[in-house]
Amino acid sequence: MSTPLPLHSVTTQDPYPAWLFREINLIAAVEPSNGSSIQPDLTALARWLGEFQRWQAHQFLSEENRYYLLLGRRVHLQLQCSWLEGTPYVQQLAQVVARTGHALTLRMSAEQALHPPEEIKQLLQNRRIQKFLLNLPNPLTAQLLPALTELVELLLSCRVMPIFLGDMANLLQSGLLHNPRLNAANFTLYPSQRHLDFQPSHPVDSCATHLSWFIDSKGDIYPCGGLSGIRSAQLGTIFESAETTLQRMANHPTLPLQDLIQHGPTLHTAQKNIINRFNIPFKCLLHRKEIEAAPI
Amino acid sequence: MTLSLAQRVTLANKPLGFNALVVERTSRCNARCAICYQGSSPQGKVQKGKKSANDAKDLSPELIRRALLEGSRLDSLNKRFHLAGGEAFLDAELCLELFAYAQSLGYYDITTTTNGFWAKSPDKARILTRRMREAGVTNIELSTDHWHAPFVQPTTINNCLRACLEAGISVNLRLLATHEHTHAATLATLDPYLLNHTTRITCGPVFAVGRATEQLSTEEFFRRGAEGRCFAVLNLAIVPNGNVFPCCAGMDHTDGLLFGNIAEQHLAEIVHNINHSPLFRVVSYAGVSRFLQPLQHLGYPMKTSEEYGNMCDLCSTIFSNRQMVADLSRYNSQLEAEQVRMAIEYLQQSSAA
Ligand code: SF4
Ligand code: SF4
Repeated sequence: MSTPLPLHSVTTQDPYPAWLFREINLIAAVEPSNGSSIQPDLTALARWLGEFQRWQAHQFLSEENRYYLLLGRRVHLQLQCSWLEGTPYVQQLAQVVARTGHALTLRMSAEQALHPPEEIKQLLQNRRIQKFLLNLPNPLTAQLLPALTELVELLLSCRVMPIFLGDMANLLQSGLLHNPRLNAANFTLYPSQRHLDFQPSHPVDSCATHLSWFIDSKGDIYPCGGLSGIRSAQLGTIFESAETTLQRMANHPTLPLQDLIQHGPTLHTAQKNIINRFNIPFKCLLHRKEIEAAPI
Repeated sequence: MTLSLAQRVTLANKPLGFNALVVERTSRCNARCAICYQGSSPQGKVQKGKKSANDAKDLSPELIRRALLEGSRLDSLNKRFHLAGGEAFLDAELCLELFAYAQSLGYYDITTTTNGFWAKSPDKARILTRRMREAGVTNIELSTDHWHAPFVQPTTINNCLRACLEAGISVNLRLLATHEHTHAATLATLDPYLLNHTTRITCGPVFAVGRATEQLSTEEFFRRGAEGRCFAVLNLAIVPNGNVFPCCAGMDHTDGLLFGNIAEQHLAEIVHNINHSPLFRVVSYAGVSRFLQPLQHLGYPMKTSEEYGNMCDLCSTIFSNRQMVADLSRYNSQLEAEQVRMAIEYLQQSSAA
């Protein structure tokens, strides 16, 4: 690994516009390889965020003010476990996030999110969590509905925005959308099949709105969810210094970030007759295949 | 208006950033929806049966091009161009030309709001969306609900959704509801396959702003209260008469606090004016509800914060009233003098410590 540049020198070398990487997407899950604890490690994450925050403060005070939004404003936590395992993790993360001046969005499967414990209710009441994304099961059964309605009403009473990801026909049939409190609030629906079984005629566009600091449960950092797990696209890990991550981002050997921001991926491989069977945008599927050089 | 020291420092120093350059090209629209916050109609902005005195003709293509060029060089502006109306697609060729120009200037996120009226036939929809995609359009915000339906049928919305899906343009379906007309009722009128392939569906309540105040009964509205801050959701919005505002959520339809006009000033100068407006800095960083107490103190019969639909409802109320804005400005200047005094005191104390 090359010697890290001092923090301030990254700015003068990198060509990125100010509004990049506006969010941090964090996947937290039980890691059996790590004594079955929830990963990634919050101490390392807090240190990495803190370093980044100081780097940003430096940019903020520098005369150009160009990079003050690089780190973003929101942490999206995708919690892949139950309250029983995840509550202390969410509590600690909420503290870290508040300390570094971010907003927090929580994403969980609806079944696991039902009946939140008192500690989580308190976080909601104090608006330490601002948005709550629920992955709806398919089918959304009548037995689940009372507890789900209760959770949604709790979120609304705390002014936390609910976001639902699921099958729209299923959701409509369930009757949840007739709830008067829901109709009085702002909320968002993400249809779960939006990327499936389809190939658009113009699949590629700028990646600017897709990019984020995507941190998986091992603490590895990628520029977007679409490239997670691809080693050659990795920007760094939370176990190294933020300087090293930034430096690698500025001089990434294989990832033309500036081109991705402006134009999206350049695809050389044939794109015909492939059907998207994954819940990622079609262009990301193609980009992954391009990088992995897998036969299409 | 009590603020912490940290809030005062932010209020005084932190530069404002804008998520997009929003051009509201025209106040004309093929529809005349009862809930239109802009009061658009085929004749332009019409409220209380009258054409608005502030309404101008459409914003000229030359001025839009100039704004795009000037905006492309602004560091505090994210390179997103959003074309809105009224209904911008009344002149679809001009829209296509502007999208392509924005793309050539390096805007990487090119989006638009439409009611989709142009998608009456599947073929027409297919041709236009393909051309939009080639011109760089990445996303459309498609408005549909109980009040749009008399003007744009659900079959037309389905055509639009299908054509966008085929062309690779993502769609944010935007719905509004009242107590009587729910989101479920609107969604039930659309093709389930297309709904399931829509990128995103954004649902919100109708607030008592614009034409809704005269066409809907007060019982139908929801109230969420005026608390909240908007610094993270600001856009640089240009309205049809060329005035530039820091948002497109209500303040852009007022005339109590003006920052500049694109026909007369460079966009960078207007951004400077916004950044240095003490009143606007309070609105964005501290929240417009901060003004309630001073206004009551100044003798204005204000409602309580909870009685407003939302913060933008209060914001529109205040900034539509020039006298109120002038009084608030005076009040704020006094407050600023007080803040300087406190800052000096703080510095003296900390250097002594
Ligand atoms: S196309 Fe590639 S770089 Fe762009 S968002 Fe998708 S996976 Fe990421
Ligand atoms: S509070 Fe005012 S300035 Fe802020 S988003 Fe609402 S209307 Fe715009």
